[in-house]
Amino acid sequence: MDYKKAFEDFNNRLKELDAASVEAWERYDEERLLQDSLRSGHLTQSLTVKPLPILNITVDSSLMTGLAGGETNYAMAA
Amino acid sequence: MIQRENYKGKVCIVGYHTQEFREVGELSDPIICKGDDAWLGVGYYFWVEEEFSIYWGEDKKRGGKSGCYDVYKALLEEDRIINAVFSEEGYYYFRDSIEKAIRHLKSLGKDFSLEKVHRWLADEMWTQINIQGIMYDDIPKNPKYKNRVYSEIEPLYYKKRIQIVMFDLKNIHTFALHLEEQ
Repeated sequence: MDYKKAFEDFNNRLKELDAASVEAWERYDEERLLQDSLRSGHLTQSLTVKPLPILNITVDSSLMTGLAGGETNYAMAA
Repeated sequence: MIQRENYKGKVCIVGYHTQEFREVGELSDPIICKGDDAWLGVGYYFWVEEEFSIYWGEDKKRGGKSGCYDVYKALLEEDRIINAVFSEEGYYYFRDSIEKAIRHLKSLGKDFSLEKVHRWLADEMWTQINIQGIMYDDIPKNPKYKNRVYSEIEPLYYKKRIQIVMFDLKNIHTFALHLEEQ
């Protein structure tokens, strides 16, 4: 291989790869990884949806006693 | 020595491709690797030594239904493979390319992991400038719980574990089953 020529080709190509093209590729890559995970059974469909925003919920302190003491809340875990 | 053969006038490297054993039929083409193991980008991965293709089968491909693996053999066109293992020019070309790519991506505000940089290069660079594959290596260490020795004189691990990734099936020839149901 002519590495000198390959380096010129690399530099010329790199100039073409701007932010928009990288972002388009990221979207493509994300989709590909997801599809591959689904095919190989590493993910279930329920995990493929977009995550929900974190809700700001205030829990009454009287409900926290057991959990704060390190007890496992088996009802929740189930 | 790396095994080489001619295919229709083209110099090719002999490569070994390990897959889970199939009860019915055999593969007519290698399987493209897209997951976490695709450390040089999405492509078709081969070992250049049969020994490591067998270790890969023992370590990674015995978890399926059959508990066995197959090793396929193929000829890989060498002309447009970056040889980052045995060629001084090839090694520095590859190294400089990675560094340049990372700098370029950072200048665009993209802080990619190394795996992601390789996937991006495979898709957006190598295949676009007619680079057909990459030969690269790592240094395996003696495993604690397996009867396998990579080095007789630890900690000098002198044995390279060499892989080739090919980006396009058209540069892979005579793909055929080599070791069955191991």
